[in-house]
Formats: sequence, structure tokens, C-alpha cells
Amino acid sequence: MRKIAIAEDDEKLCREIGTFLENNGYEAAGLSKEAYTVTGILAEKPDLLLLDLGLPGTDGLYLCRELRKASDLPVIVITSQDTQMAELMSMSQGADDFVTKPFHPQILLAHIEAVLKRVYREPETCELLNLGKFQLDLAKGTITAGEERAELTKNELRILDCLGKHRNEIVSRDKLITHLWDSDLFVDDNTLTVNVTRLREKLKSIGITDVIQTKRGLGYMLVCDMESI
Amino acid sequence: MRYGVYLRERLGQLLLLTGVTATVEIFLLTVRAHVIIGIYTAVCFWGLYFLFSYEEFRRKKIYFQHIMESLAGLDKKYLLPEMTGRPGCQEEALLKEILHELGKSMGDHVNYYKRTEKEYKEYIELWIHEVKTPIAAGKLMLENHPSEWSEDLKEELERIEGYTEQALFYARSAHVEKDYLIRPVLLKDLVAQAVRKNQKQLIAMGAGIQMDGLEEEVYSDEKWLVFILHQILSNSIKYSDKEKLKLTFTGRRERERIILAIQDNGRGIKSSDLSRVFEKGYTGSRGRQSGQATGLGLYLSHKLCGRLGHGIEIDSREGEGCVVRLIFPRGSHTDTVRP
Repeated sequence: MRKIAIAEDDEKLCREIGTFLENNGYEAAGLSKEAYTVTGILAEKPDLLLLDLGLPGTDGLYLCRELRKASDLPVIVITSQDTQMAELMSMSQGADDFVTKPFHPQILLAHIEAVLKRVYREPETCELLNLGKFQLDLAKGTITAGEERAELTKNELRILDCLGKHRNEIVSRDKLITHLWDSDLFVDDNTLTVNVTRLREKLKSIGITDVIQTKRGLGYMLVCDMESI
Repeated sequence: MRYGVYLRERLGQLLLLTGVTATVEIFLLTVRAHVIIGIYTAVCFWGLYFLFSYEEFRRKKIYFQHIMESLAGLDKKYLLPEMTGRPGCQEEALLKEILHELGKSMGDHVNYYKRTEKEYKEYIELWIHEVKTPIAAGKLMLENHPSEWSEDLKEELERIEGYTEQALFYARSAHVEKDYLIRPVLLKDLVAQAVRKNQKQLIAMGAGIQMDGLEEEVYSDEKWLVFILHQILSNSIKYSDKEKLKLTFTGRRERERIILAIQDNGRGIKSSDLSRVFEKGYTGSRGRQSGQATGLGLYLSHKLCGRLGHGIEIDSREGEGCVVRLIFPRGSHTDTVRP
């Protein structure tokens, strides 16, 4: 599990980022005010640092520069300074990424994932999602059931990804649309229906039927019988 | 300055001189002096007077002419005291001192307001940066502790964020030059960012979004442009008939420009309002009806577009939606200077 250190002086925000990261499969460590130093940060042995620029008693940019001298720890700067100048300064002081407040939580998560992936080059095995009777390969965008295989379009892939992460739960249409929009696929209600229908057809073509159920008025549900594997 | 007027203003001197001449002439008559002497004395008196007074008039005329010329040539009229040169007599010295004092006092006055305005602007910017932290914390709390109100509250937070950002850009709009960075940006990225800012509202409305030809690259400041697009989108949302909002983004390359058109199918703008939508505080009849309009969105967009060197046009027919076009001039030479 990746450990993420948070240097943010607003206690509530620090705590909430921590909870949010823990809910999403990371280990989070909120740093205390005394620990806003290079040694203090490195003592936590984090895999990534979220750094606020406006820290009391020190300067985020300075900390970032000093940290770069001592370690290759990836740093994502979080700041309310939304000027391009601030971004440029952060990047030139060695930050890996830059997120402005008030960030969309999912966007922060996406930035963290991207930086971690780039820095630690995680093996791609986790890209294979096992959904009971069939597997979804997120990297290749295909579904496989035994020898049978089908290619998915971008939209279908994102829909199945979202349903797969919440398997055996009802996922509302709005939630699916939001998930698609987060990946720059701006579909509307009708398109979603069409895509789900196509997805069902593709699943049928590899011999899988009735896994996506429509819950009228509520949304869709992916039924996976994990026992059957 | 005219000599005639100058003399009329010195009527007292002329009367006095007439009196003196008359007295002297009467005296000369009583002592039975020769007529020639009488005439000679009168001519001497009047001649000398006109000689001196004309000389005085000429000097003053040159002086004021010089001042008037400098004044006409000055861009900043209040710098006049610096231009009047070395004073030739004590009157000019006095006048110069008066002008100087006047300018100084006005300068202090203006500086006071400049300082107040700057302080206020700094305060607003600081306040906005401060308020972003609680907004971010609030968003995370809703994400971490979902309840039945989460989605609605998220939508409200998104709106607060939008208004806060508008205030920030308003405070900055007077001094855009200070924090912008012109870089090539893809229209697709810009549109995606702006759409995402309004995501909650758009999804809740079941909006349909179409994009076409957005692979074009324009030179602009990303932050400012996303803000402008965000304002335009907010308007489309505000003035839509809730059901089935359709937004179409089209990029088009023309000879010397790239056009990004944002079209909606909302209520549109009355043709009588159309010419005034870029005015500050102008809300139009629609805006007044809904009470939501601030009259700032398009005003700011227009102003910022001007600063960035982009054009902005709006076209609409009532009941049929409206289309806003952003125009990015593109000199053919920009392609050659690209690295």
C-alpha cells in the first residue's frame, strides 16, 4: 500500500484528505506543524508528498527545493494560488505536479495515481479486473471469457469499469455519467442507454448474459457471482 | 490675449492719465505756454504710457501663450508646473508655486484612493485564497461522508466556487498583464476543463454535449480562457429551459483566425437586449425576471478577451438559443516562429 504524507496546515482539510485517501486504498499521514522540515517529512518514509505552499513557519517552495536536494520523493503541490506563475515556480522548484484548491476530490486522486504510476512504474497486473464469469482488461480495453474475446469502445470500457468497481451494487445513471465525464467523455442520458445496450450485446457475443441488470428508476447493477470462479 | 481687452481692463489707469494730462494742459494754458508745448506734453504722456503698457502686454502674452502650448502638448495635464520653465518675475513665480501646490494636493488625494483601492484588491485576493481551503475541505467531507444531501450540497459548493472565482477575476481584471502566460493550448482541453467546472449542474439537467473540430491549437492563457468559457456556460445553464439543454462546441479554422463557437438551445436573448449584453451590470429582461443574473459574466468575459487580444461575439434569436463566438487571431507567421 502506498503511503502519502500530507503537509497542510488547515487541520480539517488535512484530516479530510487523509480520510479520502484511506477510503481509496492509500495509507495517509498528516504531518504536524513541527514536521514541516525535510527530516520531518522523510522520517514518515512516504511514497508521495502532498504539499501546501502556504505553510506556517516555512515556505512550501523552499521546502520543495530543499527536499529535492535530499530525496527523489515525488511531490504534488496543492495551493490556492491559481496563477500560472505559481504553477511555473512550483514545477521549477522540483514539484512533480500541481493541483489548485478547491480541487475536485476525484481529480486529486487521478493526479496522485498518475504521479505514482510514473515514478514507481507499477506493474500493469492490477489493470485486469476479475468480474466473475469474465475479465476486463483495462489497459487493452477488452473483455474475455475463456477463449472468447471482445473489444470495447472507450465509453463502454469506462461504464464497465465503474460498474465493476461497484459490483453487486446499484450504480445510478448520474454516477455513471459523472464517471464518464471525469474521463472527458461527455455523454448524455440517451448515449448512456445506447452504450449499455451495446455493452450487453458484446457481453452476449462472448457468451455472457444477464450480468448487467437495469433497476428501473435507480440505475444499473453488475451482478458477479464471485463464488462461481 | 488681445490688447484692446487688456486696455479696457486698465480703464482706471487710462482715466488717471486723462486727468493728469488735462490738469497739466490747464496749467499750461493758464501760464500761457506755447500750443506746441501743450501738444508735445500730451503726446509724451500718452506715448510713453502706450509704449510701456504694450511692452508689458507683449511679455504676458508670450508667457501665457507658452503655457497654453505646453498644456495642449501634454498628455498628463497635471505635469504643467514642471513645463513652465524658470519664472521671469515674481507674478510668474507665484503662479508657478500655486500650480505646484495644487498639483501636489491633488496628487496626495489621488494617491490616497490608489492606496485604498490597492489594499482592497489585495484583501479580496487574500480572502478568496483563504476561502478556497474551506471549500476544498467541504468537498472532501461530502465525498468522505456521503448522505442523501451530498449531491445537492456538492452542486451548491460548485456554485459558491464559481462566484468566488468570478470575484477573483474581477479584482484582477484591471491588471491582467501581471499574471498571464500565453501558451499554445488545445481547444479540446479548454472546453473539457470548463465543462467539468459545471459538471454537477449539467449532469443534473441531463445536458447533452457535442464537440466538433476542437483539435485546433490557440495561443492564450489557459486560466483566463477557461474562466471565460465557464462564464459563458454558466449563462447557458441559467437561461436554459431546464429540460434537455444541448451545448455544441465547434472549432473552425479560417484564413487568419480560429473560431470557437459555443451554442446552446436555451431561451435566447431579445434582439433589443443583444447590443448591451457586454455592459457591466446589464442583466436584460430575462435576467431581471429570474433574479439570478449579476450582469458581470459577459462583461468580464468581454473585458478579458480584449486584454488577451481575442474577439468575442454573441448572436441570438429569442426562443432559439444563442451562440457565443470566441475569435483567436492567428497570423500566418505564428506557424513559422513555432519551435
